[in-house]
Amino acid sequence: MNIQLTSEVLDGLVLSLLTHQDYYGYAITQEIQKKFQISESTLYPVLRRLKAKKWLTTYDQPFQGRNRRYYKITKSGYQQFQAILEAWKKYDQNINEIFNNTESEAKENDQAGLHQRTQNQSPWTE
Amino acid sequence: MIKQDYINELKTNLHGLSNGEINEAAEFYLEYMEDGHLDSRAAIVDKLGTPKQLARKIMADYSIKSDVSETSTQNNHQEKTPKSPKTNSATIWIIILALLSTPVTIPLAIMVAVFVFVAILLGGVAVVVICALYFSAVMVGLKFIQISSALLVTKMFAGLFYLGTGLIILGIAILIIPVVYTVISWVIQELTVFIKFIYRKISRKSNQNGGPHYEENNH
Repeated sequence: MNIQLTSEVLDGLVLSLLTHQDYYGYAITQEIQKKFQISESTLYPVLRRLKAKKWLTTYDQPFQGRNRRYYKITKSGYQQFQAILEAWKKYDQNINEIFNNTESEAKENDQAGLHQRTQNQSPWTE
Repeated sequence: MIKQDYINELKTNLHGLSNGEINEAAEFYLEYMEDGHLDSRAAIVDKLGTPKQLARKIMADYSIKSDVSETSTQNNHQEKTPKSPKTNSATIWIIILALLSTPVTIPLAIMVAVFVFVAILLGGVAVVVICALYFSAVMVGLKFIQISSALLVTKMFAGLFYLGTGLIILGIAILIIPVVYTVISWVIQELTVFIKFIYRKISRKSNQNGGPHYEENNH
């Protein structure tokens, strides 16, 4: 079971990587693929959008007789990253509050040996 | 050479984008293949899909992205200025092309094709009817003026009546040009929204069915 990355989170991931160093296209995909299943064609539109919003700039550097396009975060890109980070923290907190609540309830019921229905058991099974 | 062939195929499959946009995508994916050491056709297709599939993905992104940024900046305010009918028709066209190359199950494909076909038919009929009504009104106005020119000499008052009525009809016809234009753009706009809606439904469905994995990152 995988939870799909939304475009805001993808923006955040890319900007976050770029705060450490400049990356070229393939390397960014590789970095994100270490943790998440994203298809190889996911990043191009993301990078294009970030560039259009001027959150990153590009420059070319020769590499083995060809050019590599590097992506560099801008100042407004960094501000955007901070905004995404804030939003993410809040989101994460809200989700966890609800999840943890349900989880601890389920544990209590288990310990008490109750056969009461908990959220962990599907309401649809008898 | 394999890579360049793939890129050339990709380029020929990218419709409705500017040369700059096409070249940018081509450069990005050429570099991507070099860096990823995708040296055989099979390796490339395994990672990126066929040129057609990749082109579809890129084009769909262009058409949907503009829509997404629009709604996200305007939030709840539905004050979306209708895009020109020309951009909208281009979007419809791109999505139809995208749908045609989508690997979906046959029954679903037929259903969708019927939906889209009916929608386009209805939209088309509406536009044709509006144009026909407008055109006939103009014709009636012109005819009245023509009749009046013959009558003015023999029966002056009848002639004046026809001339006046004809001019009024033409005048109204000129005045409502913006209205007609708005109505037609509205029809095309709604049609585009509907087809985009269907397209999103589909691309999500085919994702779940384990078809080629294309992330739908918007909602």
